[in-house]
Amino acid sequence: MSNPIQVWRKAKTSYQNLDKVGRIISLTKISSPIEGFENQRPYWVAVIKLRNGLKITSQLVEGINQPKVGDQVIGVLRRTRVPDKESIIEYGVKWKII
Amino acid sequence: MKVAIIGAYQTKFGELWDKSLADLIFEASVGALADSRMPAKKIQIAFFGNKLGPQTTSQNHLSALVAQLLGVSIPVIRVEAACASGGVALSQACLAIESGQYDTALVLGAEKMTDQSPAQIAQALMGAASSQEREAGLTFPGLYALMAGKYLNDFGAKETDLAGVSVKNHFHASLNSKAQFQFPVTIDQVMKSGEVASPLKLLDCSPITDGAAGLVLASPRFAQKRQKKNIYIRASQHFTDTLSLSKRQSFTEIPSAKKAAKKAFIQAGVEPSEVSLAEVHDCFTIAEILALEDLGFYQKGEGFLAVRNGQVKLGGTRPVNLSGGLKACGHPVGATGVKQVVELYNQLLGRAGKKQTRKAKVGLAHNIGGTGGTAVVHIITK
Repeated sequence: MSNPIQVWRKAKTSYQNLDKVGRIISLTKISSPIEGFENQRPYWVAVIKLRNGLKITSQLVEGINQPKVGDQVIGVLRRTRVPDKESIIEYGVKWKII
Repeated sequence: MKVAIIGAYQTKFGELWDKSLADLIFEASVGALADSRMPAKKIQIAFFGNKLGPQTTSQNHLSALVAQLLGVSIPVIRVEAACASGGVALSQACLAIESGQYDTALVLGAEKMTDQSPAQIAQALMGAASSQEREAGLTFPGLYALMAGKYLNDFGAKETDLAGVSVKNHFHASLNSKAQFQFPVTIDQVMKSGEVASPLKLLDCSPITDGAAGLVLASPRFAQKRQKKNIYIRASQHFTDTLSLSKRQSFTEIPSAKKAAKKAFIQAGVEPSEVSLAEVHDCFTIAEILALEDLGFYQKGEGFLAVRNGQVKLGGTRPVNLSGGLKACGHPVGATGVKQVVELYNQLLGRAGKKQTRKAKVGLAHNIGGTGGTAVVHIITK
């Protein structure tokens, strides 16, 4: 988990993809999660190509039936992962299918 | 390049509850030295490949731990390059010998992984990926699943073709007394083994393993004083690439591996068709299929056919992963790159037991860090 200084430093760039639109290039459904993501399993992670050509790796959210390659997605603000009792609650951009 | 291998050893790979990291390092060192018929005091430099030591054992300054265990005061260099730590350690040792400054070198690779929970180890292993990939909740199976999904989509391969890699490597491991999993599996068992990260299932993924391996290297002049005929490393090539998978142009090839292979063939003066056997980095089944193509053994998009028609199985035209690979022999991260060359050495010497291939003259080892941020290729010949 990030400490406050790291969260503060990341915040300068964490939200730059809010409301940006992109397309899914590849995706996977994770059934065996990493620490901090256990309550979200299973969850989808995708490589998304934005309209400006930038490719990013991020989580897909919200009422996902069967996302597939080529689906259009938009960046939305979400909590990143479950924090432990003393950590800052971190937020970032996840992606909703449109 | 001409660097002699004069000793090799691998510990049992598996869940070794009664062995610490220090125990594994010691066993691999003593084993390799004994095989080379040399005492530790004749080693002039040592390289130690290890990824997770500080995280899983709270031990830094591993070079001093190695020196303490061996009772030496020579330079010891710990090398970390994710799952290519062992291969890079070997590559650095080759450079040390080729420099002319050292006549003998010990290469070790070791990892202790089973003291942690699966979630903790998955988190630790993700240190080999980018922060963006970690924040996305990705695991290493997830990263390679992103590559597998693209490959299946682009080239018409099936999930059963991925499973075929696991079946083959489990068969080879069933002939290997040092392997973690010494039992065969069927395509059906792989397909029903439970999804980890779609399309990869449990039996598409290499396990969490403890283990160590060691090699003793020597300059040609040193080796030839002991015996005329030796086995030599003829090529050692090391390339890097982006940490992040998303920053690459393609998800169905590993450019650092392609570059390392291309230069290795030139350095050794051999063609891909002359390679008798290979140990490749099958951290996940898709990785072996990509390796077959990146190494130039098969055209892009056709690697899976070689698995389908048995060409890369024991008895086939060019057997791959006779040790059982990472999938079935096991993957103690830092040890793997060293163990691959231990296996090739044993095969070329004709002492590989039940998994011995008949035509071992040129062996190739392919070791990858992360999703391809590091690649190391070695070629050894009789």
